[in-house]
Amino acid sequence: MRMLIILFTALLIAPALAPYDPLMTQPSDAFQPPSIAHPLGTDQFGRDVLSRTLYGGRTTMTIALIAAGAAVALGGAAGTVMGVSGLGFGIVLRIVNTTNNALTTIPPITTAITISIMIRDNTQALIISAILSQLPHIIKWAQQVSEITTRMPHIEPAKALGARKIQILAQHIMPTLYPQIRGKMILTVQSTILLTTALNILGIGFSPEIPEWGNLLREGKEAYRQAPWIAAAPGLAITIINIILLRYADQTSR
Amino acid sequence: MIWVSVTISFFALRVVPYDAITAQLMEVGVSSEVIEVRRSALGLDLPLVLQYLHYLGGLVQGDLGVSLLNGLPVAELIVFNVYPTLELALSSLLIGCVLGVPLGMWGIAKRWDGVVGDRRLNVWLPYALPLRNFVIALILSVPGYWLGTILIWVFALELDWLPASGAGGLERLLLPAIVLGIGVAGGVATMSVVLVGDVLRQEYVRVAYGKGLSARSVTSKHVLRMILPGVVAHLNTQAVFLLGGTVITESVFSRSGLGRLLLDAAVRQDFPVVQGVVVWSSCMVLLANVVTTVMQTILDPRIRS
Repeated sequence: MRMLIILFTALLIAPALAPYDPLMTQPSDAFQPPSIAHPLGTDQFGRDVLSRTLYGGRTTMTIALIAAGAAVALGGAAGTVMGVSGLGFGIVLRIVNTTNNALTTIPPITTAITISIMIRDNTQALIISAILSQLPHIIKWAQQVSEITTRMPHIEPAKALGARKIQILAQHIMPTLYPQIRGKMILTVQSTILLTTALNILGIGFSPEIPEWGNLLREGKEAYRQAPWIAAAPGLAITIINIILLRYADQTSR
Repeated sequence: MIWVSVTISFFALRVVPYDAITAQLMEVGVSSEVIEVRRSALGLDLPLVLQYLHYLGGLVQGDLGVSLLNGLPVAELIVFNVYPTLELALSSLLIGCVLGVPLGMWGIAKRWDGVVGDRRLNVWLPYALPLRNFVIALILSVPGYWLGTILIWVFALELDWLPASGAGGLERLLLPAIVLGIGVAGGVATMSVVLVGDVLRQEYVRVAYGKGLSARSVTSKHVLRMILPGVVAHLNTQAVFLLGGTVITESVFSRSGLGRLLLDAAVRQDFPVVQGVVVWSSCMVLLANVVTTVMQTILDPRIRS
């Protein structure tokens, strides 16, 4: 948790930490290896890699947090309703359930690519495609988890005591689900980071000059012969953030 | 199941007002009449419901329509691209299994020897599990495309052992299969850790130790045997993602395959091809489910009765 706060603060105050403007090109400084002036080197246009990584983290993490939050909120709510009611609300929920199960057979990256190309608007397209492509899987997960919860031993006595359905949901099921949803939320942030940076690497997403971790990785991949350090910074940053998120998810969902 | 995903993707893909033909011909600068003629030749001017019925009719006969860009049958394009994806997916599942299961079981033999009282192994006891957990977290966290770039840099550029790109042949398969396999291994290892935890609490494990079996033979004969059906179930969910197209790995290593086919088609609005890949991946999911059930029946005799 402490590490997470430090990292988010660093990304939040990126303008104060970054030594250079991430968009400023300096053709005479192209492909400089790491030095004191440029701690992580420069790219093909002489832009400072450290500054671009810091600013890029802001873009990537903002999108990941918004998309993961929305996906888990929507999917968690829908899945919980379906799981708790035991699909007892008749035909409507059953249709939703079948549709959702069919949608989980399509890999998220396929959905994400198609949707973000169809929308054709950078930030919105990334966020919406990240939400929609992960939604079926989250709904399915929430449904399974909440269905298990309804069979837990403390639900039966609550029913026997005459608690209303809404009361059971709010006081007996939700508190049990809460830690698991929190863990799922953190894991979704992680998978969203991987998904949105993947879209940018494939060239569907932001235009290349915008600092974003996926864009930086693509730039690094293209120039790995001359300048292997360009891809090192964003790659390490994603890895470290993911490790921290995984650890935090592990702690919080216990 | 397939029908539902076909229907949803069919209508979702046609929400967009423009398509590949319009985009392609507009660029050349031909008049709108020519575009209309071309569209009606492919049946795109018909009402959506009729198009849908046509598509379904073709689908049951194995006809997935034609690509809007080059007029090739979609089924042919998929068959042409399926082999590189299939070999990549299967070999990475294999690598994931071979790496992931031992990783998930790493440390349990030492823990149990510690309980039984083997002092030699006890030295490593406090480090084995945290180290294993860290390795698992690490391979779950490394983005595949970055790992791919590093491997290309090290093995193709610096050491010059393996080719960096293309498809075909074992030496071109190895690097991408390792990248994907490591990703699969992370999930398999996580799954094995959970499963092993359950199995170790079972009575028969204690009985096996009570009989005086060594930790090694308990692990290999009793524990491993027990977790394999669960691991296969997990591989099934991974196969969904792999067979549908390994887009990123294919583009990092410039391989041909279904992922590239999908990406190129999506970028150029060639929706029959996108649709075809979606249908294909739905079919593969069903096939993977069947294979999983069969393998679980082989691995776990209790399911047979």
